[in-house]
Amino acid sequence: MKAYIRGLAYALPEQVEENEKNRLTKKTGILRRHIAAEGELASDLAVQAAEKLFAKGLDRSKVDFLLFCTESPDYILPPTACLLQNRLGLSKHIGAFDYNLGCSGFVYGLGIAKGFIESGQAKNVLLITAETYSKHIHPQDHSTAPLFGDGASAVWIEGLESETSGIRALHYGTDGSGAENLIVPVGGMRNPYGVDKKETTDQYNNIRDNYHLQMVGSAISEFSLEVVPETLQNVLAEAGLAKEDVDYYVFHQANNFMLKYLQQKCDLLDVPYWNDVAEYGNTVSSSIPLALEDMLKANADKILQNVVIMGFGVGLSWAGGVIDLTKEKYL
Amino acid sequence: MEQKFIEELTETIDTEETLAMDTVLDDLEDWDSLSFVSFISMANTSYNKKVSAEQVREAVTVADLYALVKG
Repeated sequence: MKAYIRGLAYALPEQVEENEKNRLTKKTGILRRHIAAEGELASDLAVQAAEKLFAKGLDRSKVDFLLFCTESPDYILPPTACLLQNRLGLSKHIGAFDYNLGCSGFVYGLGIAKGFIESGQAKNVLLITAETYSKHIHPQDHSTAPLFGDGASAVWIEGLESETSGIRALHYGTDGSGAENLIVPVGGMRNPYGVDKKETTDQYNNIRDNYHLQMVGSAISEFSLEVVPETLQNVLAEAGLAKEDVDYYVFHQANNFMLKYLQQKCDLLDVPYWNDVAEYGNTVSSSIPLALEDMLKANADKILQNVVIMGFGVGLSWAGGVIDLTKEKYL
Repeated sequence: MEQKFIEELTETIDTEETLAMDTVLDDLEDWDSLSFVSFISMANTSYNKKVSAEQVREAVTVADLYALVKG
């Protein structure tokens, strides 16, 4: 059995926030973002995305493993994946767990799904990514808030009789020394709720504190420019593909200018390269599957056998690989 | 070379002001944290130079930025 993506769906909150028409927006290319309402959780978006996938004809009773990627769980414990098993009406004879990753999370999820399927432990894996970063960001942090949008994706990965795998040449990377460059310091065991609030205001009146997301933008872009080109080389070498053999490059949709610098740095100016953040912003672990579904719709006549995906961000953590989307049947 | 750098820098920090080698960065309204990140990315992609945030912070003029990427 080899793992293949069979279907994709995504869900976005109804509420839309327009970004100011300013310098930042011009650079990032993010015009507006979907923002979860108060009380609307990542798990709610997860349910919507999964229901959309089931509505396309994928049979929920066939799911035998559920993977849930989020940094916005309902509770510290139990795992949100267990709650989702119940809410989605999935069989009790399935495995389900959460894993905590951000922008690299989708690629890791495909790797986990591949492992379960190709080792014979599962046949149909439901991978859900869902995030509400808006709840992690200080409402007066106007340098960070315009970058991130909320959303969820649901992806069906199935074991098919095949010589080759639909998820291959995966390469992973981790550098915990950069952890503080993208962090919500309070809320875990290190700094539990109730510790003193430490607030800073920058020269542009952006407020940040230790209860909210703290991002060092320059460090994150530097890190991305460092690891993405190298990982791409490793992925292409293992897959035995030249740059121009790839049908599409779909990287984590961080923002327009980061995607452009990466495209230049990776020497991908003359190949199909997805860059579309205008309507969603950075949806963290959902950005790649969201882009994949949009890209598939826009390229319905194309054979997308070799699509290179690459995620990078919080951790710091990154991963890339090649996926075959020709078995995607439920769009 | 210097002229090409100035053109690229103008585009990178998205300013309408005319830059010269002796332009003082702090005099530019557009020299903000966003320009900071953009310059580091530009140095990396166009000049293959790893420039630290610290180095950029220490730069006073356009010429100081140029010194970080040339050679």
